[in-house]
Amino acid sequence: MTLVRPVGVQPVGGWARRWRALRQSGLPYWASLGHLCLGLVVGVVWWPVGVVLVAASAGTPGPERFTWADALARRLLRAEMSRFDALLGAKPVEPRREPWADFGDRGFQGVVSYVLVRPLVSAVEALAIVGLVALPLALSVYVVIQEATHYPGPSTVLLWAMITLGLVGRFVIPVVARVDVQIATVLLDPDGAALRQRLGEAVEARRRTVDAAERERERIERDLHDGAQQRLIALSILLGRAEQKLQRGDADPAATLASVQEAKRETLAVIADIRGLTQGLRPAVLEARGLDAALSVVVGRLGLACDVDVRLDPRPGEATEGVLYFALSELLTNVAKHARARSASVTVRRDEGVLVASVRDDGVGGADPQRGSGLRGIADRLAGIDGRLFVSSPPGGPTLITVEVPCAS
Amino acid sequence: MRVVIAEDSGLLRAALAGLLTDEGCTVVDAVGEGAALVASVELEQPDVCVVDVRMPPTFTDEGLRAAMAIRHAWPSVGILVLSQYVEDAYAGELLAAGASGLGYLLKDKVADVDEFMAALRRVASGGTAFDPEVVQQVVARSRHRGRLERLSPREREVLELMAQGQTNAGIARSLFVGEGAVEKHVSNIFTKLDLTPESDGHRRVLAVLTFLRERGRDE
Repeated sequence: MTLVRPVGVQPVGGWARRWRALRQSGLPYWASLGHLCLGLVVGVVWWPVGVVLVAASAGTPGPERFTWADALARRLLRAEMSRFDALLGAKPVEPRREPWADFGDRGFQGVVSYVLVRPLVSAVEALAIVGLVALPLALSVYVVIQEATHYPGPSTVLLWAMITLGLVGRFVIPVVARVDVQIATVLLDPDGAALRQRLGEAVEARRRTVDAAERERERIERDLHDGAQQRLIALSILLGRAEQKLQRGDADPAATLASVQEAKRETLAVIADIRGLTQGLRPAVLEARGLDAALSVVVGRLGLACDVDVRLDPRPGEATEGVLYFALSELLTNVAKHARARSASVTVRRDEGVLVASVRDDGVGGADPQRGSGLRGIADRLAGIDGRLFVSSPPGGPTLITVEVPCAS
Repeated sequence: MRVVIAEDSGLLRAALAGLLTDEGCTVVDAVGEGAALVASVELEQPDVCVVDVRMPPTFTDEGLRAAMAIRHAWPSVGILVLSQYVEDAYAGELLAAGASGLGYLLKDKVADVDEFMAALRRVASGGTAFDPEVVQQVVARSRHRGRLERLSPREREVLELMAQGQTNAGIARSLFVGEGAVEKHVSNIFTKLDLTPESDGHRRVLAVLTFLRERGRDE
């Protein structure tokens, strides 16, 4: 069976998260505006220096030439970073104390490219300033003066349009300033930027894993408390009553038998409850025989007409296997509960260091990560082992959900 | 004895109702949440209500808060609070409302029908019933360890039974001694702990538990 990953489908949870993070990183409006305006001026002024630095690296430069080029570049960097710090309170990179190695040093080249690109970037940002600040302001003043002096002029509609644009600018300008900082960071510290991004993602993934683990614990506590324990207490009361009657000697044998039989039924029900709970967590057969056997049990228990095709040799690590089992059994439970499918299939393969598992069904489709938290929960749990979830489920079906988990072994 | 039950698990509600009916009580109402309990007590004015601490909507302490409301509005209605865990904080809140006609038991105790009914009857007639687990925890955490060490083992037992809300007669029965012996132990205890003696009843429980739960003083 060939493996298909749904095309053009974003991993669950990616973009929404990034947009939220961007919106929440607010910078003050006036500082942003000042920074962007200054950026244009500074960019134009420094640009010739950038050209000089590029020229200096031409030909076969000697070490003395690099010494002054390096000193110039570092001074420039310090000045720029002070500018960022003064208005935005944040430096994309720390000014450098030690000289760079030579003209080929990535840090040195980063500064040069930044200086050359600065005016262009600032020019684009200037468009935002003109369009969202200067223009609305100028036109609003113009319209007000027109109205005041009763000369024929543009209508009030234009005035309101300009005011609205100005208000929009209030939100957009700080975002533009934030983007400016990001651009500076990427140019000036290319290696650092990549690392920081990776670190940010790792921290985020860990937070989601911890959250998922906590929610899981809450669920277990609730299931045990509300399910098994309540039953056991009711059972104890039942037996207490039977005990009372027997002790007082007014027990009718038929009633006593009925009590004992009910007690036995309740005990079996508790056993089933606890079994269901532990199966959901980590069934013994997973450890003993692997995913294939464990998933077959799930399929059998759900009563699904489902093929199970697992080819993983050697078996992945315990943690990976556990999370994969959880994800796949949740997905299969969803199929049984919601899909109204005639048939389904589970496939698990290893594909060059990535474990790929897919659950396919010919049911009604419409599985949506936004509605209900089931798919989100699975995606979160997978994120903990750097895994991802891809959902393709058009209304009317069929549905294909794919799980990818990196696996070094 | 007229009883109102407040318990959100249908299973337990039925079990409790069956038990109480077996023992000759009249279950006038059985509800599943705090607001319904208060309404029912207002209407039925039972002798005592049996209340689960955890109920919807938040499943934290609805039962306790309903109990406080009932205590405030109708002080003559006894309230026996049932819980699956011992929470010292809840015991403290109940104590703050005085100890008369109040009880706090683990649900485990219900299966021991004689003890449960004795506790229920005590609470219904204005006495007190604190679970031995609660008392043990309170004693273990008491700052007055020094003073408590002055007591003999037998006196410790009597102290714990007093803290549970047992009357002298009840203590005598539990320890298989005569009431006179119990009275002597009680008076010794109050002397050794430097407490003003209180007569039998809820005031005594209050005095003992308040002493045991005192914070920040003593050796």
